[in-house]
Amino acid sequence: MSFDAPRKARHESQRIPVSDKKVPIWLICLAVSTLSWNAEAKVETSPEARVETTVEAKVEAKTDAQPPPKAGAPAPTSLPASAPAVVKPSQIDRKQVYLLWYPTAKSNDFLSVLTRMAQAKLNALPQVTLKQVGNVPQLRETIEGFGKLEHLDRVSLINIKNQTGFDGLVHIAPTYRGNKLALAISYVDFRNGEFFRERALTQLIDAELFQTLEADLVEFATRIRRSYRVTLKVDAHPEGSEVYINGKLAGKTPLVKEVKAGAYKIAIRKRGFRDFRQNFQLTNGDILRLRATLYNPIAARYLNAKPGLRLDSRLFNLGYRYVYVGADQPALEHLHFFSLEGSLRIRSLDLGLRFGLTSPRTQTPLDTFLGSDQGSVSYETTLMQFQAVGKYVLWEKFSFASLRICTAHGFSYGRTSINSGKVSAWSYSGDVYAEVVSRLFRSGNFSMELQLDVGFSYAGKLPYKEKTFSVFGEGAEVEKSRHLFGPMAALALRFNFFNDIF
Amino acid sequence: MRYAIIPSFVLGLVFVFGGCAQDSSDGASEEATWVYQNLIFSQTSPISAAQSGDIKEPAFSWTSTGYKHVVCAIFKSHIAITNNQIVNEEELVWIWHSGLDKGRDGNISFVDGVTDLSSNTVPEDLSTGTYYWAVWAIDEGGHVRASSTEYALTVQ
Repeated sequence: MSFDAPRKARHESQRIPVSDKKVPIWLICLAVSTLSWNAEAKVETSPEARVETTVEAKVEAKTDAQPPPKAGAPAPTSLPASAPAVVKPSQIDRKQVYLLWYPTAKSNDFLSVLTRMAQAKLNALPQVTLKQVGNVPQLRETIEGFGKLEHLDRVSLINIKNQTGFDGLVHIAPTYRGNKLALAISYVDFRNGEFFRERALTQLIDAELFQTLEADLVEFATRIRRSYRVTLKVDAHPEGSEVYINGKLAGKTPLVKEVKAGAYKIAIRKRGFRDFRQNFQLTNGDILRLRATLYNPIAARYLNAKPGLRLDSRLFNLGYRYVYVGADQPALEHLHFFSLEGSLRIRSLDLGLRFGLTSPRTQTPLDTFLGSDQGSVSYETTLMQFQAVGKYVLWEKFSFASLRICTAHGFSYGRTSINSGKVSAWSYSGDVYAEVVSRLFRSGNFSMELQLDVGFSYAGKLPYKEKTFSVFGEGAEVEKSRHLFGPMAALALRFNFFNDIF
Repeated sequence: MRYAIIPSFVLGLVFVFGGCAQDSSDGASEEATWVYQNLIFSQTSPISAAQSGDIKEPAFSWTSTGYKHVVCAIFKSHIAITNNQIVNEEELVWIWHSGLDKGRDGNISFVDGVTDLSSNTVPEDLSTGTYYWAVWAIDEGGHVRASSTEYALTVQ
């Protein structure tokens, strides 16, 4: 996170030492004159009072450290005492930026196209108005009264703003050399008392020229507009975090927003991350660049994992497990287990216990004297598994998703009933499978995840009585057993309780 | 003296009743016409059956059972049952079952049956002697659900 609120003008004024030179009379007159203007502005446009004060301070300081005027340039004293204020500051809504379109040549096809382009582009920007110098009476004379633009110093430029109310000027001087155009463009920032950009282009009139000028105009207007406002540039990791300004949702990162000067409580929020909150006191012209990396407690936990045993989480899952054991006697082809599992997460290892239960009822065909499969034997089977489960995390994206290799070993209790009675037996059972886990939802220490398993399962040995049909009575029942083995797939909901993270 | 009386009494009882049993079995072998009065398969529903027609080629009838697998069989001797399974199959003389496509459950004639399950041989008339027959029904799971008592059939 960084906070960069440049107050260039104020910094400059602070850096300039107060001179102990004798102050000339003309300078005192200038200062008094300027102060009187700014006092008026301060009263009438309170939001800009601070800016104006800053500028005022700059004038005073700059005056002391002012370099000698350039040759041929008019001295600051050349400010006409009775220069007409074409647009008085009191008439200006300071939220609005007024720019002046100032072509030196007479209008021609190129200039009229360029003017229309500039008007369309700049007037489309919020709080920006472009006016042509020719449309405002006496404006050209007022500006020219200060002298040639390129020779004007900071004080003079700011004074033009104070007198005319315009924040900037686009000065265009086209000359034609054969089929080429030589274009000198100056973007003069009256508000900040500086030349924003000067371009000297000699080229054919083409789309590239217009694109360049268009980009310059937008950048120039935006810069001046932002000096009247506070610009918030908020970025955060992860992207798409919500930005709240004074409790109201302003948008999602990356966010650029202009606001009024004042006190702001900025909060950045993202589900699953700790909120970022900070208060700022911002003034006009400030650009608040805020870049926050939100704290993810779970990620931090894993990233900063210390060696040694550590209990990360406790989880249990409820699920369904399917095992295809093939068609055989008894006709038990599909096993549908209800599964309950509880485990502890210790570093990259999950250790737990699992219980599985399935109770299928099957009809096994029986050959009779009427023909094959004319009869059927009904088996009621119960298969219970008690297994220890071990899982190793092969890959993990924090707690969002993971891939595990798993094995389960334990006992299986199988029981089969037919009319004549029941047979049951204990046997070994074991599974080997891969597991993919993806988080569905998290709140605090609790996380609900979806788990998908694929692998092979030995579900145990199932005892049963094989029935044979006899025309002379009950027939024979022979006790047999069947090994239940086959591919498996499982789907479960994991309820994960992280241990002491938050 | 008092204790010597009890063994003497017991020995006397054994002697008396042992002699009676011997007499009874001797009597049965002489008559050879008695039959079992209970259903041939235990814990099954009763089937009431009857024999009619020519004694050498008898017809049999019983209340229809509703089961798919119904059997009627004639044996040369008493039908011997162990664990709800007939164990003297070698004494079989004639048999009919519902898989033979002749006769129907509840009404069959002698010619509807066969002498042997494996050969399907058409039966000849019954020769002189005493035979025992019964009817039983088996459900789809191979369990005997209904049976008759053992009937005697004497061909002169």
